[in-house]
Amino acid sequence: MTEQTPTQDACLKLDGHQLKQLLLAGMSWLERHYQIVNQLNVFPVPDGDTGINMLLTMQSAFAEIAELDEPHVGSLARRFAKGAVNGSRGNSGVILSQIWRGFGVALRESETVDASGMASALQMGTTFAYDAAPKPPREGTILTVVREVAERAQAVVREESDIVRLFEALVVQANETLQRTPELLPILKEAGVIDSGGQGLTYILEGMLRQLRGESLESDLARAAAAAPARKPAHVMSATEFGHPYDVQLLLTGEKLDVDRIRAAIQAMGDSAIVTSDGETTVKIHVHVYDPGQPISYAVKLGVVSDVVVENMYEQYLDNIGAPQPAEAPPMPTVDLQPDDVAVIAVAPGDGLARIFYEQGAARLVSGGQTMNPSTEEIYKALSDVPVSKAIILPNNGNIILAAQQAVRKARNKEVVVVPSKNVPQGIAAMLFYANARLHEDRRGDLAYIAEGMTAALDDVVSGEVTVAVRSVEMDGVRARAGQVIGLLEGKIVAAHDDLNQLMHDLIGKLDRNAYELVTLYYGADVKPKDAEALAEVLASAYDSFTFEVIPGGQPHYFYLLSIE
Amino acid sequence: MAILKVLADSVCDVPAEVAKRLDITLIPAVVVMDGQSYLDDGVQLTREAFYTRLPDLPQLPTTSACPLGVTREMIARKAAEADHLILIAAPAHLSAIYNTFHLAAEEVVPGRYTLIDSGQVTMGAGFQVIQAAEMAAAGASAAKIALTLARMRPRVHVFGALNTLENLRRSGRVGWVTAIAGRLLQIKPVVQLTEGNVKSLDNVRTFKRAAARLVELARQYAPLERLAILHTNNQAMAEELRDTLADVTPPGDTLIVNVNPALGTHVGAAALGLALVTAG
Repeated sequence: MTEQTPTQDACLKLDGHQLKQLLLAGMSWLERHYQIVNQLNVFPVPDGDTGINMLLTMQSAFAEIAELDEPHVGSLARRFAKGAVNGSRGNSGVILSQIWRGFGVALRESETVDASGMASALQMGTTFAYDAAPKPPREGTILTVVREVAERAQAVVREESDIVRLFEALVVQANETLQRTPELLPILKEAGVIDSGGQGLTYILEGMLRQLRGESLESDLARAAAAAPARKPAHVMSATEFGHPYDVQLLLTGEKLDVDRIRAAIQAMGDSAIVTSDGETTVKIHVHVYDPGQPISYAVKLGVVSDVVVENMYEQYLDNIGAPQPAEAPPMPTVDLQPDDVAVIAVAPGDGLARIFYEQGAARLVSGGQTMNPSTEEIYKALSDVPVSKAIILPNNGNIILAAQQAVRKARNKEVVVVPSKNVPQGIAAMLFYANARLHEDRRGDLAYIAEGMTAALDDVVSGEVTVAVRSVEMDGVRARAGQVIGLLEGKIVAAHDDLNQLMHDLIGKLDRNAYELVTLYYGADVKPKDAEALAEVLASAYDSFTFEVIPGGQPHYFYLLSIE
Repeated sequence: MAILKVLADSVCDVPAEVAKRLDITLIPAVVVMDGQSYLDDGVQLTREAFYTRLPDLPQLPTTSACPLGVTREMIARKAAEADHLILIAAPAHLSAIYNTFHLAAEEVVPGRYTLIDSGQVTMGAGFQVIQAAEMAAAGASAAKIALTLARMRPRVHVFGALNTLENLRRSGRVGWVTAIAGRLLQIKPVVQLTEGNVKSLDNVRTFKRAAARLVELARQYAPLERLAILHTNNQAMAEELRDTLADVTPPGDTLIVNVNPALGTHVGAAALGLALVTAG
């Protein structure tokens, strides 16, 4: 190990001018990445656009200090906070403004700020953010990110006084927490994204760190991400599923306003209620409701209402996902089950994939997969639904195997085996074994024989996946920038490229020509049939030892699923 | 001792050199390809040439029984050398060959022939023809031969692994295999041929796996009395299959047979198969 030498002089404290530069850098870095944050926002919280809302909040805050020549950290931070609160927009913007408000309160009397002052300010910011957020606070959001960053700051400053080192640690922490947000918040996992507000905050911290290190704030990342196709949700929510469609924001000015009482009243009207105040005279209200008139009528009774913004989030949601017209599809084939037969229940994302399972004889399909894991209950329901007493479950996803096993424990009156398929290609390989067993009268009812054969068939195929990198990574020796198309084989990244077709070439080029003969391409909802066919034709001429088969999969998020055998 | 001679149609796939050695007369079926008729005699049309051209033909070739005149002539020629003829024909319900043999024999050698329906195609029939010729050479009676073949028939099995479904589709016989319906088009069926019927045993996705199924089937049916490797212009894989099966191969040469156009037109090129007789 070589001894680490600092690349620049240690930075022990900042004055107002330096803090201003730092805040500007945080805003600029967010500005370069806000579209990435917007894209994280696509599903399932269509609350405007998180990226643009956070950016507008930051711009409003910075506008307040842009003309100031303020050496005093406390004065600067308070003005910045005021600008943030006044200009806050959207859930994450409001919470961000509260972080700055706490920041300002903590630094109120400080002429300069050192590492431990920064840590205390972050702590206060966290407290304000939690206070303003809907109760109970939801973890896996910007709240978790700011809290864990603040906790990390407290730990770091016990041994470290260099602000650069402090921010290095904070950026690492922010990213770590961010990657964990899908584990904390199931809807993120369902959508296959990390938390957008947390990502926005992370960009702000990264910008500040870049300023401290004297690094460039230029980046081509935003462009790359903007070029990446939007990810579509697996399932278009109905207006009923979506819930409160209207996002209402307003500013209430009055005298002796009782913030806690107003907050309670607003919370009762809908969800995502955020009520913040700047003293007793101004209250900012944000809430999602069915009737936008309700919060407005309520507020006008208490004082003067201004800056009213009403948005129809359901319409935005449909626009954002480019809600596809439900296509006319032929009815799914049904399997003829004899009383002694073994039924198969499979989990699959996308209509095309579901159809293939049905064609091979699946009795029931449970919708879900990479981004929407079905619950134990849903699997159990399908299991109860089949009119036979012997069944096989194909989870087709590593994250669903446990739920499937739980469903089996619930289904006491049935003999059920989970064949642990980790992906769709494995599931289809197992399904072929099942279909073959059904050709033989003496085997079609033999659960043990079928389960064993299906399990062995899982190894018949190598699976591949092609999707967009949602963040920059360097894994398995491959470097992928956010927005690039990445190719995985057996769960490992093997190629990354800006161009989908080129990526496919790279991916196919990695396959052992002597070991495999058939490549099945299941194209996703984002790929046009024409394009998939054209790609397969090009690949077939470039790699003539393989046969390519193109099948509509209809899966979300993944351009292609590959089965290689 | 009466002299017996064996005649069979070319659909039984007994290789020319074996036929020559055992004095078997092969009456060629007729292949109509691209508007032209060829006798399946290895001279007018070799099997290699047939399968090389098959994939590119705008229309699938058809096959028919040898013309009655030719059949009559061949039977007459052989009748001059023998007291009695054994005629072995492809299944009557599949082809006009049986009836052609019957008509020709009635004219040329009434009362001096035994006509046998092999109930099988390719070497499933071929093994019966070889058996008959071996017995005839050893002086067995026609009745003994007919009885032996009848007892042998249930032990004869023919399996195939198809490399394409294209020919079955084009000939409208995709119903022969329980091809898994739907969108997975790359299916390699492993089938069993009995009495001219085709039964699906397995549908797999790669030909390598289909070939592996043939190996499993041979092992499953061992011990074997006879074994032949079948193919449609896939000599390399056929030899590989023969070598893989060395452990279950009965003594003697294992025939490798490029199967007849009558079957091959439906099966398509590059297929593999097995014909075997289990030990009695």
